Amino acid sequence: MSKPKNDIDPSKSQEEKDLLRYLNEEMSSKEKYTFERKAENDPFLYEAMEGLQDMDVKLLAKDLADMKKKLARPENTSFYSFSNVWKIAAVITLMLVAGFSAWRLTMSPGLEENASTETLAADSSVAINDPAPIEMDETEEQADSAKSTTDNTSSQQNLVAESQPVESPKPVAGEENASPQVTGPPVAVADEAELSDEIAVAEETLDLTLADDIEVAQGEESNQGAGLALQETERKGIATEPVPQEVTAPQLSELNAITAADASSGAAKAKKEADQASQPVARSARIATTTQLASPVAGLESFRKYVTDNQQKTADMLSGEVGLSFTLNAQGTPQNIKVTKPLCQACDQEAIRLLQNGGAWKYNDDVTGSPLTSTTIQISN
Amino acid sequence: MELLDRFSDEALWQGFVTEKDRQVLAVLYDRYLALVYGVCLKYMGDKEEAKDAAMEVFEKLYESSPSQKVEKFRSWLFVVTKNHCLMKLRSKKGVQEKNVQLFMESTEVVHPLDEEETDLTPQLQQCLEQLKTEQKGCVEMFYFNKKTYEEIALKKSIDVKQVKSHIQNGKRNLKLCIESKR
Repeated sequence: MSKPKNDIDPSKSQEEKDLLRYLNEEMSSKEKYTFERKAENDPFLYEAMEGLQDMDVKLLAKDLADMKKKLARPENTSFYSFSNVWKIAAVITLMLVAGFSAWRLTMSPGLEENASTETLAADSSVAINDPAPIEMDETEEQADSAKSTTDNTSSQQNLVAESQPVESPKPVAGEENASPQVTGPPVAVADEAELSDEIAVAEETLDLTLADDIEVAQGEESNQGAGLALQETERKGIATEPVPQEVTAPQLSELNAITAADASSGAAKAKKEADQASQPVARSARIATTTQLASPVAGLESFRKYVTDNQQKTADMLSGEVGLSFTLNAQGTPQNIKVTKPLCQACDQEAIRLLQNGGAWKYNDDVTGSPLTSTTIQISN
Repeated sequence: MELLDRFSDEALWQGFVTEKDRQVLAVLYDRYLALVYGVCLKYMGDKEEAKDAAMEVFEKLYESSPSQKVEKFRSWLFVVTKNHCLMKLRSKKGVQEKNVQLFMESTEVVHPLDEEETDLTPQLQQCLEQLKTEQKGCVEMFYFNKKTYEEIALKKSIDVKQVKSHIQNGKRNLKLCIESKR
């Protein structure tokens, strides 16, 4: 990498050491005073101290060490990072579901009980096959914590799991989708060989949906809003094709233990691709639910496209939507623009700017007078 | 690894942006992990959630667009962290909670009291006199007698947290007072 020279920062993580010493009462009162003075002039440090002041220093040191360990391991941090854990978990679910239903197809209907025993057997073999039990534990841990933050991911997953059996004549969704995250990747090995065709299809859908969901969760959450990024749907829908190949990359590496470097770059690429291609699935349904009194003269789609193309980045890296309400004058120009759903000051201003410069609107034919109408503008950073 | 430690935040960030190298970002993030975690803890109020948030902020940086202009990494990271936590809170509490104020990178204005040499201009002196007794007392002991929070707390037989809030409020009132005289 390019390394700028003589650019030495003496502070390193001295700051962290100081912070721990301060919290642990190891400082002389003069040092302590200097540190407090520094914090008074440094909101970051000041608020961090507020957060940490009641915390046991030993626990804090341990937490920090844990987190640093996660950050330092490229193979874990990238491949088993939050988003990927969900992808993996979901892929396994799908494999199980697909494998199970395909397997059941080949069996006579009377053997249902046998079937569930078989699944159990697969489960218990995990421990034995598992090449690195410790790593797996961590993955689960992450999966758990990820679950707490992005609750809706799991429901999404169920949704996918339930809809999947449509491809196979005998739907058997209910029973299996309970166990997904608990079984580690090795389980997949057993099922995967015979079923690769069916799975390939399944994975694609799933990865799209999940990636989308995660992006919604990270990229901020307040997305219950309906009028979401139609323009993204349009724009990114085109990019769907390259995905399947990319998506299988991390997958194979899981089975064949490809080198860490491959896995991480593969996973990163796959995520990127998936992000780009992902929008249509989950969001389009919600978009349809908004009722509008007015629409852009040029059409909603081209308005959305205009928004995407003309957007200026805001300074604080926020993405999400801004809700605006307004009325139209005789020329169809938006007036009385008010923010109904703020995101951040700069984001709101940008949204207003976009609406003001985004061309004329017209009321729907059945609308009389100049009532307040509304729209949402997607801010992407 | 050790070599990387010698680079400034901004140099590392630039290196990360050019190379998209996770390790470089990790070295940079390590420096701030304690602070990020502290801030997350302050807002989330729960250790596990704070840990999640701190790791998510890392991912957010990793995914951030290369065109993102970062002039001062430290203050930018503070804003990103804080906003991430506030957005998490907002989504947790649901839509109705609109009063979560998001922050922008502030143009750093040093409080007159926090300047290298605190010189007591007549203006400052005048404003100081107008403060409430506890605020004035805490501010004076901290800035002029150079006492730590704890020492002030002991002397005044109040809580350290109260000392800190008196100082904060005192500083804010001072600033308002000085600005009104301009």
